Amino acid sequence: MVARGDRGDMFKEFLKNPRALVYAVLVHVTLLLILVMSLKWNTKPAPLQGSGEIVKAVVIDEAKLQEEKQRKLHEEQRKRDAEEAKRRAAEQQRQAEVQKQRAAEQRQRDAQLAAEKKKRLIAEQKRQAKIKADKEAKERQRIAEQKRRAEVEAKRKAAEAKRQAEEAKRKAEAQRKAEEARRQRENLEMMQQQMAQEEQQRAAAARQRQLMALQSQYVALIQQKVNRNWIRPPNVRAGMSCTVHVRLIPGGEVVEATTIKSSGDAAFDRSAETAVLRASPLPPPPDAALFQREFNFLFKPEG
Amino acid sequence: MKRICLWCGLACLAAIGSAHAALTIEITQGVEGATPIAVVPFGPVGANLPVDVADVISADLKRSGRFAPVARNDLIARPYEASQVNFRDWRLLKADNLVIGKVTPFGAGYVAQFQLFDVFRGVQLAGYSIRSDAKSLRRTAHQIADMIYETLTGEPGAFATRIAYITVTNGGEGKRRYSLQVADSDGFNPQSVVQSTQPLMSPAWSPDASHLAYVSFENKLPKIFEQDLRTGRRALIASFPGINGAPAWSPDGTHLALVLSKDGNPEIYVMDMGTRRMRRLTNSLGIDTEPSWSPDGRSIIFTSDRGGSPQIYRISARGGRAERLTFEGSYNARASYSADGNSIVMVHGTGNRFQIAVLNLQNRAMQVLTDGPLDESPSFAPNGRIIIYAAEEKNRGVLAEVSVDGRVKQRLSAREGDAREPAWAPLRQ
Repeated sequence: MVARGDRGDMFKEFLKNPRALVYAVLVHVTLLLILVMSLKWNTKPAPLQGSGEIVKAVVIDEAKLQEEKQRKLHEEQRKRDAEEAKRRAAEQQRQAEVQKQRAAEQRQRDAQLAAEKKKRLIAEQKRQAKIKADKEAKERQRIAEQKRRAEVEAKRKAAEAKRQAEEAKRKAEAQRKAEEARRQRENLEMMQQQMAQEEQQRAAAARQRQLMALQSQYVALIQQKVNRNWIRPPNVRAGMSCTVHVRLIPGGEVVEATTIKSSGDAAFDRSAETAVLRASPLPPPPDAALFQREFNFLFKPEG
Repeated sequence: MKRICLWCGLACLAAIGSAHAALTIEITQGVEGATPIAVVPFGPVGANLPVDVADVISADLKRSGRFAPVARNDLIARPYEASQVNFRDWRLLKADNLVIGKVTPFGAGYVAQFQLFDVFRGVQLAGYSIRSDAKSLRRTAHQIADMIYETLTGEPGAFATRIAYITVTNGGEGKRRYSLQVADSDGFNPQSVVQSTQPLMSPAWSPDASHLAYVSFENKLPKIFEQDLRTGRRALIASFPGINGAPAWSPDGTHLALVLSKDGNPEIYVMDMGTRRMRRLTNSLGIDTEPSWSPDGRSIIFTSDRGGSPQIYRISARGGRAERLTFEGSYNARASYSADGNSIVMVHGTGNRFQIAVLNLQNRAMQVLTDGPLDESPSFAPNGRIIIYAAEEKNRGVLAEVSVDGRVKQRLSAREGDAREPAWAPLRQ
């Protein structure tokens, strides 16, 4: 993974694979930490630990002990410093070599980059020119196409307009014809209707005449029967009159006969009411249409 | 177009409809006739009554000419309580009215109850209870007839009134016996008021029906008397030389018209009943007789032959010129007014036939009511519906009644002898 001989490749590698860079960094950091830590551990005095073995202590000369200890410590320190110096020198040498190599690599990489850049620029210029040419060609094609389409469209529209005009003309004609036919039909219908109505009116008039004739027949029958049943009080005089309202049920039975306009003579009024009641049932109408539930009698003696 | 026609059609229909709604049928003829009425024998069944009340009522109503009582045999049912009445039955009979009733003992007498129904409407028109007794039960029946008559016609009845008349009977030994009688209007219950072997004539009722004036021959001379019917007392009113005849009370009872011949030929006089002073009313060469007052007391009609034949004339009660009223026939006599003053009844003679006729004073139409041949002495019932008169039947004088329309004639029951000169009493006031 790490090939010190070719830094440019390594960077490429790193560019290609950023995770490799992270790992590399992590490894370096770890190594550095370990180094630092080991340095710290070495400089840090070991903690004193109380021990049960000191129960039966003998008095030792503290000062001597301390001195000895100090001395040992100095000794160790001096040895460590010497080693450190030696290691640092080696390191500095290695660093210088690395620096030298890196500079060479850098120069090589810069040249390569410049060449690539130039190459890319030319390629780009070529590509741009091609794109432009393509674009122009496409534009021309589009305009041509557009033109063609417009022509086609114009043709189509013209055809359509012509067709529509014809269609409209045809429709108008059809409509005119339909209208004409309808008018004729309506005229005919109207005439027929008129004739039918006239016929109907004639029939209705005839029926009316017939009903009126039958009505007077009917009235005469009723008159006859009520006259027969009216026993005139002897004191009635010409000029006396009373109106009796009657209500019939089909079949002619009189269900009510009431004086609605009195003659002023109770006996006369009663004789009139009684006449109607005596005449019940009144004769049936010659035509059922003439039956009337309610009507009036005017009792108006002559002479 | 369609719509217009539709409207036309509707208009036609509406025209028919409205014609229907407005339909009024005129009835102008009718029939002259009597109204059928059913008078059911009074209950309770099996009661032994002195009088057949229903029979008396029927006879009364029939005599008026306005009612035709259904024959007893034709009566469909015999209800005497309202609860027993089924109007349908009576409608089938075409009886306009129905009378039911009962007579039940009450104390020493009776109570007569009756109800009058309108058959076609199914309603009661009248109903009364009347206390009576054996003696007056017949009169009670007449009163019931009067109530029925008045309810149905609107005019007062006159059945419970009386009549006065003269009877002539054979008194034995070739002598005649004259009697002034008073009876019920149907001739029943006759009672003699005065009896004489000499002629009695011309009974006349006072307006309150309490007195009778009459002519009685005393010693072969005619005199006018007045008699109180309640007490039987009589008073002489006129006994002038010659004829004293034909008394007639003024409607207010204060005057009496009479015929006297004291001044020559018979003339009409008016006597003030208070002062007995007299005033001569007529003065003619002919005979003036048979006076009768108009109901308003302002004029008097009488018979006079001043025109050659007996005719009826009218004169003011205060005197003056007499006006001739009758021109038809060779003989018109013995006229008297109807209570409403609209007509007079008289003896109307043509050839040798004498009939009762009524002259309508408004249109001067004369209607002959009887057949004769010797009808005389007509007198209106107080309600003007019936006329009583004397007729000759088998050479015998009888009393008869005719309805004022001439449709119903009935002879009153007669005993032996002749009956003459009936006079119908006024309604008691």
